[in-house]
Amino acid sequence: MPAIKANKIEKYYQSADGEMVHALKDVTLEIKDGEFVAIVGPSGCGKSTFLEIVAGLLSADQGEVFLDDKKITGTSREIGVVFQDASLFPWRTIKRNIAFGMETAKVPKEEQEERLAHYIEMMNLKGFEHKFPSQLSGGMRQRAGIARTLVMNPQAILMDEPFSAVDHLTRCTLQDELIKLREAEKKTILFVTHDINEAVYLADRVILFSPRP
Amino acid sequence: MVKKRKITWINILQIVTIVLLLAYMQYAVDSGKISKIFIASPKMIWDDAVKSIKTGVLLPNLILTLQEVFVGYFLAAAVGISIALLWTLFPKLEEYMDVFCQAIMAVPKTAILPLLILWFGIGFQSKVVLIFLFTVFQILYNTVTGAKQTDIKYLKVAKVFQANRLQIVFHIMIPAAIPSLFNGLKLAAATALTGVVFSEMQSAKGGLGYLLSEAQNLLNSARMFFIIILVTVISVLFVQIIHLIEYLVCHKWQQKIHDV
Repeated sequence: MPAIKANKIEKYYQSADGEMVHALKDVTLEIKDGEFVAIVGPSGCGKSTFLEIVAGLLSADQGEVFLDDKKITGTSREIGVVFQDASLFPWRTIKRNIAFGMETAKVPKEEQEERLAHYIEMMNLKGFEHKFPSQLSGGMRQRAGIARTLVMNPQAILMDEPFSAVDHLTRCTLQDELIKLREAEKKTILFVTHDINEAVYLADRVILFSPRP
Repeated sequence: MVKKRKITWINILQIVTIVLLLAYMQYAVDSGKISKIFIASPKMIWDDAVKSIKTGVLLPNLILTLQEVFVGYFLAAAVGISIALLWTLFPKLEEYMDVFCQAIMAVPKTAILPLLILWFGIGFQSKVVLIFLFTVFQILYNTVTGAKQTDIKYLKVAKVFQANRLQIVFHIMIPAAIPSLFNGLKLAAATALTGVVFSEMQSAKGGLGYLLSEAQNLLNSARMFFIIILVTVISVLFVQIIHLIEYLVCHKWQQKIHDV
């Protein structure tokens, strides 16, 4: 059974000079439960738009997305998103950033602490819990961004060029960590990148988006 | 980390310039080249400062002005921030109130001083109200604009984690607005002092502005220079205090990696 199913997605948007741009044309895609799928394409090909539609952050002009045969109409706690530059809140410490989702979901404090301890350990963030994002390197910030998503235990994780803002060596480390993490957590992952090497290295299946549909 | 500053030849030149300027003022007044009605020599200003403190003229007036400023300013801060919070929580309220606030803000505050005196007298109250009107909109609009300029990426995170409106406002938009809130508070601090001195000069029973216009009537230029310097120093100090509070509130999350 496919975990995520996108059916004939169409998306248009209006560019700054008033032209209608066809961002996504007839995108149909099935991702199996536990599968790691990467989408590769040049900037502006609509891959991030597609990810945001699956995340429920944008609505498609036509077509629909299903998670386990349930239609996605908005964001869901079953779908986690890891953003390009981690998008941590600068006014919260790393620990409180990771806890944000659990706060909004009103998870009991004790359980919060338990889950926090587990994922802070797993993402090698021990000792940095009380630092602010501006005090950490890009790689550490993205580890915290991933932890913030994992701690909610979503069924599927969408990643929007998560390693594009870190240096090459850190990226290699993070990639290997992601592979291990995936084996441990068995999540369905949709990974958007412009780096074809990264896509081939990480994913079970690579999907190519053309520059203009 | 505070960088160690070295004294450069430019600093020395700056100090020399100031000393020369003061020396020339002293010389020009002493020798009668410039009438002491127009410019007071540094010595005269110093003597007047000492005299006004010793005779007990300065202190009560200084305290009165500071009281007026602080009461007006804190009222404006409390009301401005509260309205900003309400507007962020209830955008419809902003839609309704905005045009009225803009209209009141557009009125030159100095032009309504005669009305304020009519309503509140020439004492403490009219000054507080004037300072309030001078500063409340700066604080309000800076805060609201800051909240509106919350980075879209933070709002996306909020949406992904299904934060509700209350959580978005208190956990994201308000913290994101803090730097511009402090900008508003700093602008307002400088404006508050301008407002109070102006209104005290127009009509008052005391205060630094009152001393200033009294000195003008007596052609006491030393006193005028002294009050102007004093008001400037207070204004700078006031802004620096707000700056310090801002530093205490947000330096931790605003520091950059290379500072650690």
